[in-house]
Amino acid sequence: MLRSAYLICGDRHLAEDLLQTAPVKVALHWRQVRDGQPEAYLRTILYRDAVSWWRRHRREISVANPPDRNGPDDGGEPAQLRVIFAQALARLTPKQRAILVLRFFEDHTEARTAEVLGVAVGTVKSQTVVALRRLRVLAPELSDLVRQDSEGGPR
Amino acid sequence: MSREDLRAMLTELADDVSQAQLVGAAVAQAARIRRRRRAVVGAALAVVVVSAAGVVLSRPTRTPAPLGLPSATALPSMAGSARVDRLPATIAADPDAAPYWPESAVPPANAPSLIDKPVSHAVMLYSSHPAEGQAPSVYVYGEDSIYGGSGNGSFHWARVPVDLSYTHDAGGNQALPLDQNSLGPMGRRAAFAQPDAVVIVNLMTGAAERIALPGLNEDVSWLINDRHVLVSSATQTWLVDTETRSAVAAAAIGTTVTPLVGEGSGLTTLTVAGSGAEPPVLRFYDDAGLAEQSHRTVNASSAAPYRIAFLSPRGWRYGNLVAQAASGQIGSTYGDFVAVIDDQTGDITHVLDLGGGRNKGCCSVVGWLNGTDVLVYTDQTGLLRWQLTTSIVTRLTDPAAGPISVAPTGCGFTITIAGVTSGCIA
Repeated sequence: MLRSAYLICGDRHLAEDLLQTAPVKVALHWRQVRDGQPEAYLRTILYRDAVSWWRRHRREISVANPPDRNGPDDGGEPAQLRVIFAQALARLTPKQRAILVLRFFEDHTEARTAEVLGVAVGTVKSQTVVALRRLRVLAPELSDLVRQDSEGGPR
Repeated sequence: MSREDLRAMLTELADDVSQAQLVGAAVAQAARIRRRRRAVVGAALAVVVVSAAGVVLSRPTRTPAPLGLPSATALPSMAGSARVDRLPATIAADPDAAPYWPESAVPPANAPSLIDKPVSHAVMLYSSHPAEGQAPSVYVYGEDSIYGGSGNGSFHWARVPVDLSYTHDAGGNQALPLDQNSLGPMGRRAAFAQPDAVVIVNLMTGAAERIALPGLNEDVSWLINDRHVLVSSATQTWLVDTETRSAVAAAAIGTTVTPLVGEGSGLTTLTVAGSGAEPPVLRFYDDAGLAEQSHRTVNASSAAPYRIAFLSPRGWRYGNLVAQAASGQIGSTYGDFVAVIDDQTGDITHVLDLGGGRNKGCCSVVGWLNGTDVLVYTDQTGLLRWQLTTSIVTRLTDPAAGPISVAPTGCGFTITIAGVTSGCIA
């Protein structure tokens, strides 16, 4: 879950903060959620907070060299692709990142993704297409990686 | 390559982070919050019971917060020409906090409606993310009102009885409607940005009015005359006259305005240009923010080795001094700090070093007290009072999970908008 949060917000410390805050909210409502699906509730809080947090602070201006990003030292092709991918991912909206993470990293269905994010299934479908298309535009080097058939999978 | 490779790329990217054992800490923190809530409810019940018996009680002595052990103030030092104060390891509770400042920014669960229990003036607004499927609520902490008029020296929390929705941008990203400057001058009214509207609430009566304003409005900032509000979307800032319910386009960007609290005139903004490598720039506008008149670059060397790379959402101005939270390089490390800038010289005159290891967006300035003390809010320490004249930092209010807005209470200002001059004699 920490890794999912990191993929959405792109900041390790923020991801840890989010993961620290979400269980607090679950614990505060433990009586209501303990007989249901606490893990699902936790995941929902985490994803929605991640999207919401980014929005609240998006007006911060980035420094030229962000101090908390530990990039690879080697300059090989895999590392370069990884950096390109990370930069392209960072330019998606947080909701698009969340959808990609839920769909392709956590392997959730479209319906489950919609449930976690509190959006319609149609939104998940459309935003998945938009996000993959945008990745292709932002990073042509990854066009094979994010070609249309990435949109397949559990529904 | 397809779906599996996309997953592999995400997995590789996520390998940067290791899993943490945070659940235990979360349970402990939740228990602390519960205990605090019970203490507030218990204290309220005790006051009710004893009052019924005709016994006059004074407000109970506040219990020191977990970090609130008495401590010596760290000795100031110098950076460039600026004086540097450091946040002490333990922060003492401010002896003058009660009853004006709430012990905690978390309101009691059974807070009455503002209509049932109005305030004579508000000190603070608070909001937090609601339970699933519910609309966000806003709470007000203020002084009791005697027959709808002056205060009686007692303070209480109340729920603001207005239906508000999350604000959102064109991408659908949501935020609570409570902004840092939602609470107006002297705590009389509150403003909330809403999609296609701004909502103004009279906190002395609970009455609300909705002024239509096209756009995905996300931010509000009161002018010190308590009549005009700057309302901003991502693309437009409007100057709204709450009396005539009219709006004109402003030149100043509302989210960067440093609201005037007292002793001065005009309107200023503070921004970091470009990549953050350049020093911040102060821009000066007319009283309404309709036209830029001049600008001044902040003298970055005046606080070396503190270098501002990020600015928190809003700074606040008292006279010629602008106080704003920032983060950036501090020599070879990275940390958060509050900078006080003299807008006449561009020099940073005071720095409060908040240390490193905090979250992004952890810290903000939320106002001034008397032109000598800066109000600083951090998600770890709560609302702090930083006295510029003595370097002493004390805690006014314990932290909460949501944003707060503090009423500007300064005086000695004069501003003129559309031929109408407003002022306040201290």
